Amino acid sequence: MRQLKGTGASDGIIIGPAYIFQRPSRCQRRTLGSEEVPKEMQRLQMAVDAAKLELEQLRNRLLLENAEQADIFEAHLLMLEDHELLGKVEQLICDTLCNAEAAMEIGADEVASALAELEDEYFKGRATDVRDVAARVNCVLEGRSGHPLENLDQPVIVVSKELMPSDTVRLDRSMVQGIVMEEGSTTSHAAILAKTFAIPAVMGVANATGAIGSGDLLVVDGENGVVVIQPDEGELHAWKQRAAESKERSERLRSLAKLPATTCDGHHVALAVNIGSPKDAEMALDYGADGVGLYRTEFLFMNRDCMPSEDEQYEAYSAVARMMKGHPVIVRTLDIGGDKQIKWLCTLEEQNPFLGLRGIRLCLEREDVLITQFKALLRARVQGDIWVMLPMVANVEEVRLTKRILEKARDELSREGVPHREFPLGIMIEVPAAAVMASSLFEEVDFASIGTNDLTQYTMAADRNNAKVAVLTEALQPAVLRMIAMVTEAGVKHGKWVGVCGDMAGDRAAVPILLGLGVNELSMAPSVLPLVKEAVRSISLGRARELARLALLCRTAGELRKLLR
Amino acid sequence: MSEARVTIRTGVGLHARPASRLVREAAKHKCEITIEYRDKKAEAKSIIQVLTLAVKDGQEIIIRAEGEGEEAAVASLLRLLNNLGGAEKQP
Repeated sequence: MRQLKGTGASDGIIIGPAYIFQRPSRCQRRTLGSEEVPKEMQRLQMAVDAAKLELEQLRNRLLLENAEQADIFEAHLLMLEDHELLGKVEQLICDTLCNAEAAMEIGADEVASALAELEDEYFKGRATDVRDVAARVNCVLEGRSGHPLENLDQPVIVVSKELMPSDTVRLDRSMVQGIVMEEGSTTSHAAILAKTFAIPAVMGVANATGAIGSGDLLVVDGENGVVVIQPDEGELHAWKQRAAESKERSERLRSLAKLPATTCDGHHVALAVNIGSPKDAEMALDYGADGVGLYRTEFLFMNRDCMPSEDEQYEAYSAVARMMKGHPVIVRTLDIGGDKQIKWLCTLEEQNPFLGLRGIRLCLEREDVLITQFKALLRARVQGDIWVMLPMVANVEEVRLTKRILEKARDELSREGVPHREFPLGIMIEVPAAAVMASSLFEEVDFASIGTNDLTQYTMAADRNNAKVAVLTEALQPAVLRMIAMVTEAGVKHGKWVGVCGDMAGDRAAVPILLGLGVNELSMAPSVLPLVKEAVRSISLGRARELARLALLCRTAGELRKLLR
Repeated sequence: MSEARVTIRTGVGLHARPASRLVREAAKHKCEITIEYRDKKAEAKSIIQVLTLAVKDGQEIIIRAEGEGEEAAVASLLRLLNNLGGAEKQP
């Protein structure tokens, strides 16, 4: 047995025969007579036009099914309109009297090598695109059609030096079970495709096409970046077992993603994800989320010299709303202060930043920031189901003041004639005062989401970044649990929606209690969502209520821990 | 000549997708448009040159246009980059 090492690019273990995919060898170089040059130019132009037509069709078809791939072919199309490439090729034909195919290859190599020299992995990788475009034109010039990866007659693991977008778009996904590539990284087109279709893949395997023979039995471990060639019987047996386990695990999680988060007696609770940027939202639906429970907008505002414009914010919020396809997206307005500082919004040095001007307190001081954010959110609400919540609310007055600013934002948009829509307004419950006053606060707002991390640190008066007092913040504390119960009780009384978006929402052990207390939604990091869903689906609401009742009787964190075990 | 500075905030820098949109928009204008990044310069109408700049997210570029409709060209590229998440720098 031999083993090759690379970078795991798409999880899963697969065992199967190797199929060595080789690109047609380099084209024949021919020297033209000078009288042939005009005709060769014409040949080139016709082939470029034909390739452009192919690319246009590909792009248009993919726009509907896979926008990301469509973007790739849009870039390819532009490359064929780019004088940088074609100018070189034409010049090569004129000056060196070589045929169009050879000129295309040499010209593309020159352009690609400039890209390949870049440091950044992503831009380096675009060299592949230039070569791919040239290969497409040469296909037309040489009158070749069809693609070997389109007509596979048995399931295989494709081993190649490199797979280009024009290869991956044609690859028969029912037959390609695994991918091994000599070049490429986890951000290459092939890696992205493999991830999308859950095909195990290992990239950057040196000399793979040399070491592996066609038909060799391979094991591809896409998680650890390992390729095993011709394993002996004992090893094969062990790998088969691992493959089965990994398949079962991923299938369980994937099938779980499609199942509703319903208790075994039919009670539904929404499971949502916490995100920091539009990019994070992409994963949310794959994990089977019912929405975004906390969109932290700070990242839009940080690491820059000025406030993001209303349009820029609008783009970011609508991008998430559109990505979530009608599922609710709860956006938290700017939460700065405490341990998060912004230069341009520079607040005074405070002795006690966590007890200082943070969250909504800061935004009430800087009305311009809040109005701009509200305007962007009111506009984005036209694009999807956006809800908005305010961080660090401590009393009813703050909510009333904020609503006045919201009113102003609405008036400005109406005056400007910009389309916008009303969103549900809620608050975060992180300050003990807000938990105690929950009932009065619910008279002002539509919903609340409990931030358990801050609620714990403020209830216990223990800095959550200070290891010396970690014992007060790490475990679930009876005092915090009772705070949460005050909020859910008030929510039930007023018929208002209550969510939880702190770490506790992603803690399997705590989930039954939160359910039992009557929480409507749990919001967490995407990766723990399947586990929480499993916890929800394995308990009845009746049992959860009983557990919650017993939990509220606990006097110490130790008793709580014992109950939850 | 007309010019503007803009910070790229697409989340990924000037990757193929935003770069393609930039090149398409630039192609609509007759004037010559260049983009400067660090000590490198690219024609805004060439996707290959724009990609070779390898502009990272959060970095500033300078757009320069010269010729017919230069002001409109700079304004339209600024608008596009802002919509992609670029932010115009305050004077």
